[in-house]
Parts: sequence; structure tokens; C-alpha cells
Amino acid sequence: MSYPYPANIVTICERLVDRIILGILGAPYRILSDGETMLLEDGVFYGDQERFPGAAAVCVEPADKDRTLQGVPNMTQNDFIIYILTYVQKVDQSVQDTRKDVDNLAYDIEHWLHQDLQLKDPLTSAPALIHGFVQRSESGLAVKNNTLYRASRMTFFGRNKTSLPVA
Amino acid sequence: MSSPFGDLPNLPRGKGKYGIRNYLQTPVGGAGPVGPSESSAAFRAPLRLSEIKASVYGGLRFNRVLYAGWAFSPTIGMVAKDINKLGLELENFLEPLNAAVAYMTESIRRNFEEQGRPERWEPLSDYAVKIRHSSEPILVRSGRLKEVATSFSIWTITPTSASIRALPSFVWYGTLHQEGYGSLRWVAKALLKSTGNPANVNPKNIEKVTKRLQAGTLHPTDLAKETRFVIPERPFVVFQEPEDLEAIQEIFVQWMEAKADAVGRNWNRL
Repeated sequence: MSYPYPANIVTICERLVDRIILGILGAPYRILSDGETMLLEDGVFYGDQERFPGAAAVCVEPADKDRTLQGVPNMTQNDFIIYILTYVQKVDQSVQDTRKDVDNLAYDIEHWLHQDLQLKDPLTSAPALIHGFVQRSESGLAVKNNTLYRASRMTFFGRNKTSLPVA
Repeated sequence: MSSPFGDLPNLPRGKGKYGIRNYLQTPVGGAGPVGPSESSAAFRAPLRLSEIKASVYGGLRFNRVLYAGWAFSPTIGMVAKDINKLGLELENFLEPLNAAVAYMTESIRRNFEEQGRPERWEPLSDYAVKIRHSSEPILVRSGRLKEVATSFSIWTITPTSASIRALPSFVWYGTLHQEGYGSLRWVAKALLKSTGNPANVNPKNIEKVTKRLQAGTLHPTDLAKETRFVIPERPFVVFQEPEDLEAIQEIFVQWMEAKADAVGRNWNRL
């Protein structure tokens, strides 16, 4: 019998990428202040990137996995920290609008992720976490390929439990 | 906003869903600045045919893709409550809805007879042909599914709407044929359904997600297991566009004409 929760941070990150892509497909996106919809679907990546195909991008960067022993023999509690980085760079709008866009994008992603705290598999409904949520959201700047992007970094925290020889 | 001047004989038919909205925002024969009050109904201007057509085209809504969980997907239905009543004091649309359902029943029967419209259903697999000893007719073996799908009883008809929301449990397999099962397209639909918003499950998004699944940029865990058995989509309960939509709109137009005539508002009788 396979243990229900994955211990691999890659699985957790892939679920996050899937959820963000599906969220973006379904949302009437409001990233541009003039109401135009931005096609972000191709701008979602596993891991941070140096070049982006469009004016906005979302990267899911694995950061940390912490395993501690629990009372039951061989049982461990796994705490995952994953960064979700959002970038926006628009030359034809003011810095204020770009700042708002990136912060709105970050909040929307946070909102989509919080619709399912267990990061269930969309097909089988198998949960990946006991619970997971965005713990912190920081606004900032990032230079990518000599271009200054307005950015936001969200810290996603997830927790599950696995038995040691299995996962 | 005023009514259009003169009849509009060339008002395109079958365009209700696609652009012609109710431009008659004010009820015809409503109270003018010096005229009698609407409630008195002492005088009402005769209705023009164009007004009736516009009222029906703008207000009749067809739901072709109404995902209702696992019951039957897509369900189909039509909603008539938004039809501009043009002061005819219509409260229920049972009569035209029943006529529309009778029409749709025949349309569904033709789908079975022609084995898919407008495109033919995908042929049966070699295994299926071997099991049933024939390659045609597709989807008709005992005839039970066809009989149920073309029966009046599967429709839920209310005063303002008519819809098929589920098939009876003894023809449960009809749902699999209607929607398909196990293909990447089916997985794409399942992924989009998981977002919780039925509006996300539209052909454009299904196409995008299918491409992503092919490219491996989406990662549902049990993809291999979910796509092990594939039943192609063979939709038999569908509105054929534009013929079915036009025919149903015409049923409503004729019914409203008859109603206008009955209350003495026929445009030909001044």
C-alpha cells in the first residue's frame, strides 16, 4: 500500500504549478490596468528563470524541506517551504500600475491556492498535504537579463507526514 | 429607447444567442406622457413581427454545455424566462417548450439514425466489433439507449425551461458515450472541472489543457491509469447549430404571434 502523502518536494511544486496554470486559465485576468487580458498561461515555470516569454511570469521555486521525527516509530513530519515568485515588467505603463499588477497577481495566486489547502490531485482527489497555505507575501524588485522587474515573493508552507522507509 | 420604425423583414433568424439582444427595453404600449396608464390596458399598439422576433431571439437562452457533476455531462437545456414579454402578460412557456422538446426528440433520433451529426461518430474499435459481431449501427445494440434518449420523459420541463440533466441509471453508459472517457481531452475536462467553476470548462480551455497534457507541462499523478481505457466522445444529445436553434426560435415566434393575435394585438389587424 502506498502512503498517501508524497515526501518529494518536486511533487508538491508540480501540484502548485498545475494549480496556478488552471487558475490562470479560468480567471478573467486583470493584470493590465486598461482591462486587457494578459496571456499568462505560458509564463508559469517550475523553478526560477532568467528569461521570460512575456511581460509577466510566475515561477515556483522549491526552497526547503524539513523532516522531524514524530512519536510513532519511523513516522516523520515534513515541512515544505516553496517560494512562488511573480514578475511583471511593462514599459507602456507607470511604475505604480506595474506595482499594483504584480501585487494583484500575487494575491490572485494566493487566493487560488487557498481554495484547496490539501493540494488534492485533480483526477483522484488524493491529497499531497495535510495543509498548506501562503505564509508570507513580499513585494520587491528583481533584475532578470538586465531588465528590472517588479516582483513579489510568496512563501508557501506545506505540511504532511510520511513513514520513513516508504517515503 | 424607442421601438424601431417600421417592420424589419430581414431580421436574421437564429441569431438570438449571437448578438441580437433585446433592444425593446420599454414595453410596447406603455404609458406615454399623456396616454392612458399601462394598468388600464385601454389602448395597446399592435405588435410588429420584428418586435416579437427580437423579443424571442434576445431572450431565449440555450445551454449546450452545462456540466452537472457526474450525472450527465454536458446536459442541454433551454431557458425562456428572459423573453421580453411585450406586454402580453405571459407567465409560462409550457406550450412552446413542449413543442421544442418534441422537435429536439426528433433531432436526437436523427443523430442515432445518421450515426452522428454533423460529423459522423468515430467507428467502433476492432474489439467492440468482434464482441457484437457488427460495426454498425454505432451506439445501438439493444436499442435501449436510443429509446430513452428519444423519449419525452427524460426532459425536465418547467414553466420557463426544459432540460436534460441526467440519464436514468439503467442506461448509465450513455453518459460515457456522450462525454467520452479516458482520453486526454477527457482528462483535460476533469482538470478544468476541478477548478470548481463550470465556466472554465469551455472548448478553448479544453484545447489548451489537452496540449499541455501532451507536452507534459501539467502533471496529474494518475494520468497513465486514467487514460488506460478510452471511449471516444459520441455526443447524441446535442443542439445542432444552427438548424435546431433556428427551428426552436421559430416555434417561439409562432407561439408569440398566436398570443399577440389572441389578445387583439396582431399587426395585421388594425
